[in-house]
Amino acid sequence: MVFVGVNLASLKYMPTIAAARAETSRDPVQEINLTAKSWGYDISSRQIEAGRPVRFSGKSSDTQHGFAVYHPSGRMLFTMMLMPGLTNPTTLVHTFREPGKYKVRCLEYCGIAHHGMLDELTVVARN
Amino acid sequence: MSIASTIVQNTPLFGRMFTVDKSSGLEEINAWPALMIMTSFVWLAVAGVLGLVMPATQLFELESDLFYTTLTLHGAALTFPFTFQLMAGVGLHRSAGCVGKPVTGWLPAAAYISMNLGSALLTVAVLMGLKVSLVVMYPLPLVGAQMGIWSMNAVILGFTGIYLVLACMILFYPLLVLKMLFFGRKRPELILSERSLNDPGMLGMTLSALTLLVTGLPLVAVGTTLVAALYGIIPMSMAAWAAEPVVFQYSFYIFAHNLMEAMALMVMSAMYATLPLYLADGTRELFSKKLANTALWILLLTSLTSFLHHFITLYPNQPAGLSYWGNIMSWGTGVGAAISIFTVFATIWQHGLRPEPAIIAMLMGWVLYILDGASAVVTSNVAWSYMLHGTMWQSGHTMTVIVAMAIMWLGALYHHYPVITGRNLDPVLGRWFIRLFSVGGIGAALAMLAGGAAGMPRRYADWTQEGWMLYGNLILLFGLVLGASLVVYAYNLLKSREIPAATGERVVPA
Ligand SMILES: [Cu+2]
Repeated sequence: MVFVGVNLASLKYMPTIAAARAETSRDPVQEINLTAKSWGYDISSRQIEAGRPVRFSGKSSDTQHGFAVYHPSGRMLFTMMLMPGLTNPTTLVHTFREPGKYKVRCLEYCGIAHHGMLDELTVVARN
Repeated sequence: MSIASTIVQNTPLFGRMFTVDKSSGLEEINAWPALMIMTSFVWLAVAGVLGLVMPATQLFELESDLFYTTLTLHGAALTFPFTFQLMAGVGLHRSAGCVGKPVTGWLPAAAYISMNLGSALLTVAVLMGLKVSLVVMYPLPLVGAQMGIWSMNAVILGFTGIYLVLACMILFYPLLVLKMLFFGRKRPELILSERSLNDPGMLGMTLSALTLLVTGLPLVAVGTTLVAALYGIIPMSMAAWAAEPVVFQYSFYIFAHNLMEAMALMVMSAMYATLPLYLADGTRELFSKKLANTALWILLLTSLTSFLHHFITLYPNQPAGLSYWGNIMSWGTGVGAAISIFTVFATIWQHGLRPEPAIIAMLMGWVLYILDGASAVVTSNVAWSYMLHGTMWQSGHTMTVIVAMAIMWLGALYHHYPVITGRNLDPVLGRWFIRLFSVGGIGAALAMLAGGAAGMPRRYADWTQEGWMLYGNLILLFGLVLGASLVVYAYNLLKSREIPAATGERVVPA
């Protein structure tokens, strides 16, 4: 029962389904492209509008990196695995609800300055 | 006299713990296992010291470099030359005693040398600067060399070490087990407790050896190509396919994941074999042999493809369908585990238990294994994986499975120890070991899982952000308790007493 229940419920969190929902929502998707390189990120925009879905598309140009976004309260929202050598980016659609400063951390160990691989996104209220 | 028992006898301190009893006529099944077990304890001691260095680097604000060095070495030492080698040693002794075949010839020597020489080379490489963590994080070794963080020599040495360790786990050890089970003449004088290959106490050995061999082959192909290119035997261009991060990562995890499952299959069989010997009413039978074997088969079939859960967050580079498949298969291993858990508890319920340290240690490992299973199904779920991948939750999961295996094999070793060495252990110290280990193991597991749920990253030198130090301190505290329990265990081995000859008959537990 738990087996079936949890796994059916988690279907709606599957990235394909989240992406499909975002495509069909009335709000246009905000596209953010990013590239990870030891030990930092190139991010096309660090400003995000609350309530509108964002599609993060990430690549790595050297070794494996992560792209994890943390809520201002410190809780982790999601992480993405960026593997070098792939043609297509890793993608994820997320809709931020609350304005604030969201920390970005690398969660795939990438060498001696791994813990210094930080960034920040700002979510602003939509006007 | 075997070379293996000579080495054990002449090793200072550790040798005293495992000196093989030569009067029993069982040296052929005891010598190599004793040497492997003894050497695993040497690595345990090394890992213990490294484990203390990690918090020290944070406490005294030393270079984070040192943190990553010890992180890599501590994890690698505990997983491969300690836990795997302990398992290999105890597993070989008990299988040999079940089928009446000696553990002799070049294969045990090859397995032993490749594991320990490989681990030693990897240790030197890490000390030379190669800080790539337990799972290598490929292509980090090559990228680090390009960036000048460590030398190419360290990379070559490290890959050679890893290659040798893999040769032990994927080739020599499984071949040794399969050779022993399926070939050679049975010698009645070596039989301690006869079992057919389909007995629940034996089936897991076969399945696990096959799992290691089969799921390791892609990594052998990739690893051989890479090492050949690093040594200049083949041009780098010919190795380009193997150097692709995605190729290495997938072949690595199909093996690494199944390595853990193979160890679970093996320890489950050891549990199925040992538990009936400690039943209060003397029945010596499991609740149901069929159910016991069903669990092993389910675990085998579901585990083969559940490694896909490692790459859920790589979407769409790993298609969502494959991720979901990995999710369902991982939960399927939970079904296998649940059936085996039911068998164990139903057996105890039906026949009662003589609570001696060997079996209590194995059952405590069982409890940790259940706790670990719960943490594993959570993190392998497609939705939760996005919130837990790369956090301490996964370190907690990995640590708990290894700690569960370790205490189960330490329990099995406790059980087989009198036959190997002709000496008895002190049950009071045995119970103290179990108490401390349980508190340390469960406490550290919960602290790591809680840290992970709070977003604390794994393999991360800086725990001062977001209040993660709380979990860090708890992990340290419980880690120290875990360490203390192992000191008690080792002290018990050191103080073991010769079994008095006056009792006449030799008690042969197997
Ligand atoms: Cu990184």
